[in-house]
Amino acid sequence: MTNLLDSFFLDRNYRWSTYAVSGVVSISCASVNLLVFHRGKTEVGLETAILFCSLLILGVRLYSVIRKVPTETSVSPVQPVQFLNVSILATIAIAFGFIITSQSDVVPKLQAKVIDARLERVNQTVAHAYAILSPEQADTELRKKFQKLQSIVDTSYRYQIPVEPSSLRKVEATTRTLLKRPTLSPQTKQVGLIAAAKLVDLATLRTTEANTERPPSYFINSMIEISDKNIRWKGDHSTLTFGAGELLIRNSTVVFDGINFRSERPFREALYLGDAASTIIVRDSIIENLDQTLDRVTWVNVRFQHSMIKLAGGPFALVNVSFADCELRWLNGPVASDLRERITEAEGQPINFAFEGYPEHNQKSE
Amino acid sequence: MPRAPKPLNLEGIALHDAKLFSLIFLGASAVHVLFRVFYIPIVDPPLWFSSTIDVLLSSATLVLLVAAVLDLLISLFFHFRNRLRKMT
Repeated sequence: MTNLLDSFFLDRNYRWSTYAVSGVVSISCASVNLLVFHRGKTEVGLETAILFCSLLILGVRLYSVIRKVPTETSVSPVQPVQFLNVSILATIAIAFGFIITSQSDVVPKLQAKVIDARLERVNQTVAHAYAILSPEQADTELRKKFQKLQSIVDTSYRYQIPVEPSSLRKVEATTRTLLKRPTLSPQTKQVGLIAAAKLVDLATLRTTEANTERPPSYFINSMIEISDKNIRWKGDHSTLTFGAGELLIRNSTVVFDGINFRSERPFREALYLGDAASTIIVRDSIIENLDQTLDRVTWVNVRFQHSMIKLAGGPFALVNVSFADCELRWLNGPVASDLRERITEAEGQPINFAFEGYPEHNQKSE
Repeated sequence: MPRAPKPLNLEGIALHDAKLFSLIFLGASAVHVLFRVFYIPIVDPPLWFSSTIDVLLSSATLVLLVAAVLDLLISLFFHFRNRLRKMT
C-alpha cells in the first residue's frame, strides 16, 4: 500500500483524475441526498467526507490494476518543508470559521443587515419622491417603490431572514404616512396598502417567533379568550373546529399560522378577531362555514370556503386570498362593493385587496 | 545548459496539493458566503435555484476541505517516514 501511495503521488495525471472522479461522485451523492431526500446536513456532510476518502483510497488501491507500479520509487532525501505555512494556517482558521458559521446564525444576521439596508434605502427614496417630482411622476415612482418594498418583504419571508421588526415598523409607518396623501391614485394606494400589510405580517411573525405554540385544543366547545398576549399558534394545516364555542381576542398580538378554521354549522359567528387594540395575522389557512368579519385582520394566503363575508368599516388586508362558494350579500357600501366586485371577477382565484378603514374606526384604535 | 530534473519529493507533492486545495477551498467559501449574504437578499432568486447552488457550494467546499486535510496528513506521513528512513 505504501508503494502504491508513492506511485499514486508520483503519477500526476492519475492523481488528479482520481481527485476529480472522487469529488464529482461525492458532491453528486450529497446533492441528491440533500435536494431529493431532504436529509440532515450534518449527517450527509459526514457521509460525503467518508465517501470521498473511501474513493481516494480505492483510487490508490486500483493504481496497480490501471497503471503498472514501478518496483522502486526514487525519492529525494529529506528536505525541510514548511508545513504550517500561512496558507495552511489560514485554511485551518477558515475551516473552523466555516464550521462555526454553518452551525450558528452569523449568515442570517448578515442577510438581515443587507435587508435592513435595502429597506432603509427604499424608505428614504420613498420619502423624497414627492419633494422632487410632479404628482403624476411621484405617483408612478411611489408605486414602483411600494412594489419594491413588497418584493423585499417577500424575499425576507421566503428565505426566513431575521429582519429587525423595528426596521419593518419604521418603513410601515412611512408608507402609511405617504398613503394619507390625497393625490395618490387608487392603484398606487392599493399597492401601498398591500406593502404595509406585508410589512406588518413579517414584523408580527418576527415578534411572535419566540412564543410559537400549538393550539390548546382542536375542538372548541366553549369560549376561548386570548387577552394581553403576544403569541403565534402554528399548525400543519390542522383544523380548529367550532362546536358551541368561540374564539375571542383582546389587546393581543396573535398569528394563526397554518391553522384551518371550520364551524360545524354553516355561517356561525365564532372567530371574534377584530379587536381595535390587537394586531392579528391569519396566514396559510382555510376558513370554512363561518360568518366572518374581515376587519382589523391581515389575511395572508387564506382561502374562504362556504363562508359569509362581512365588513364593518375597519382596516383590513387580503394578501393572496381566495373565496369559493361564499355568501357576499352583506358586502354593501363603497369599499364593500369594490371588494365584492373583485371577488366575483376573480372566480375563486387569489386576490390582493386592502382598506385603511374609515376615519371613525381608526380613531377608535388610537 | 539545461538543468537536471529536481529529485521527486513526495511530501512536497502532497503538500503542494494540500495548498492548492486550501486555496480553492478559500475561494469556494468566499463565493458561498457572498452568495448567501448578498446575492440571495438582493437578487431574490427562485427558491429551487438558490437551494441547488447552496447545496452544490456547501458540498464542494466540504470535499475541498477534506481533500486539503487528507493531503496535509499524507504529506506529514511522507515527511516522518523519510526522517525515519534517514535515521535507520
